[in-house]
Amino acid sequence: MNRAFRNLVALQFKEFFREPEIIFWAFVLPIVLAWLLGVAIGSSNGLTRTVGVVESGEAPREFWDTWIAGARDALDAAADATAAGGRGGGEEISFRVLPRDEAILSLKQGKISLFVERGSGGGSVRYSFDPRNGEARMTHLLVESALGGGAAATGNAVAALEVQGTRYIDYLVPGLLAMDIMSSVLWGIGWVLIEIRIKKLLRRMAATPMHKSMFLFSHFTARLIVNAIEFLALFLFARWYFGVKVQGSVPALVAVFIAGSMAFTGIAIFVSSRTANPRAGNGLINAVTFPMMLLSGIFFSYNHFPEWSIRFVKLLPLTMLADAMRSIFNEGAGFAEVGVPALILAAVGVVFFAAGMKIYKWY
Amino acid sequence: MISVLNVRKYFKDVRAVDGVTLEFPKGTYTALLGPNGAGKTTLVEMIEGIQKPDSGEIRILGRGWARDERYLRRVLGIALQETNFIDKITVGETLDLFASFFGRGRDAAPRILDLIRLTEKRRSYVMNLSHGMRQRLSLGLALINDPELLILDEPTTGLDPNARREVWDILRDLRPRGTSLLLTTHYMEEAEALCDDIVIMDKGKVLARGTIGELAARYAAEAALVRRTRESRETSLDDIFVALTGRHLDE
Repeated sequence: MNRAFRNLVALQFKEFFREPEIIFWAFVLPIVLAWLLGVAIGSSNGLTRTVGVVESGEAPREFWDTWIAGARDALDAAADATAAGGRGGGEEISFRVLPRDEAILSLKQGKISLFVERGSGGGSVRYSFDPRNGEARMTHLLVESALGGGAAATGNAVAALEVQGTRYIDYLVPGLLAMDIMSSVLWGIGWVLIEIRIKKLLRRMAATPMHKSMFLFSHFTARLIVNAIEFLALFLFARWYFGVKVQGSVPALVAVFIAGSMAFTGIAIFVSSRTANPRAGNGLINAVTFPMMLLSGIFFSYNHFPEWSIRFVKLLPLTMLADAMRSIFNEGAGFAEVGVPALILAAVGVVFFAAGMKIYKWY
Repeated sequence: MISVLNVRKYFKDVRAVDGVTLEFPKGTYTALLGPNGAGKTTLVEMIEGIQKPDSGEIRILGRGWARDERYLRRVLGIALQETNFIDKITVGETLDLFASFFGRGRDAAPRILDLIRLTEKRRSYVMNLSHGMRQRLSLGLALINDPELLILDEPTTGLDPNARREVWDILRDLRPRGTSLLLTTHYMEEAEALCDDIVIMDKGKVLARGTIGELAARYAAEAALVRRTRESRETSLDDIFVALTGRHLDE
């Protein structure tokens, strides 16, 4: 490794670690965010509620058709009553019939809030959900109260579901890790490059025999190492405090992490390729990161969005990265499942890097 | 050493450099003198390969930017008009970074620190340097590759007289090494103190060129008219400039 490259990587580290504020924003904030969302906001309401209904030998489709029809009538009646009482309209609740394995997977992916199985006696049912998930608890209460005044009256049972990967925090942490990669790279590379162009240091460096691609690659290398430290800090906290685990392949997780960092590095270099104005640079980076933060299902599942939009949301690099990480964390996925998204992310990085280099304003 | 042949550079309606032809011989200290907007910076940035001329040709040591950029980047020493460094990187680290760009070893930075008289500041963050020290650091970066040809764009602008003299002393020390210097300035005294070859520019054109003695002799009559207004016996560079352009440098 040549001395210029080592010096450039070291430069990023020195700049990073000599700024206590940057360390706070990079390391402490994601952890505080995970804690806040996992503990506090994790118990708030969702907007749309989907109940999974588990089809089995004892509970065939016909049993559930009758049960769903009854539940819908009861929910409609409850909604009418609350509207008449002047307390606003009823809650939107939909039902999906599916096998048990798929119900657990859907729960992990945030596609359903809870699932219902046939209970042990007569027409009773059993609800399964994470008791710490406020959205699931609220959905359960709404359905139960509409059906007849709570579990005591209906004879229905409730089972606390402790399957690893079904809790809100299990959903949240891989998303936060993905978002952290995006923010860290776009601000840590994109903004830094814009800033050194504004300072006219970029043109000074470019007026030396320094290899320009090596200069950009040094930013990627330094950021990859910083990202890895940030990733580990947040993951270890989530593991210690919430018991979050990686159920799938760790090498696949490393590959997805690198591919995600590549994708956002390419985008960061493209975004920073021309502008020398701090406000324009700030706006550009926000324009890239904000929609992805909102749409990519980091905090709440994008499966609640309109059907037509989901196809587009799934094409966003942050969605690909968060989904791939979530499937490794919660669904036990490995290279077979995340290989394609990882390759696409890496390709996104290469394409944007090449396009950025083509139009890069060095002087 | 540098040959500029009928070079033009226009920005929309502004003729920044308008058909300039100049030769800069080896070993000379040349000042490009002119007011703000004269086209000095545009001309040197084209010589430095930072801007491209709209037309004309520039050759340095017999080579052009299109084909020999890497070679030229290695041999030129450049200080741009304005460069801000990274605040929390030390003076020594900044010099060592640039030394590594030129493939120089770790011994380059201490040597240059000594030359620019900043050895005692080698561990200071750049943010803690005075303006004069930053200008010396900028000069140090230009010298890190021991260039044959040094191009400095207004190296002492904004410095107090003492800080300016310190920069001049460093530049004078380079003369015995055979270094060639091309600097832009709008300080008459800087051109007089350092350079044996003076090019007066205004509005993108070269108005006059020569040593101070040659210019004084050539424009004696015109300068005398100017001189009369300030009751002086000697023709100064300022008199010549006013005689040529009809205004003072700082206007």
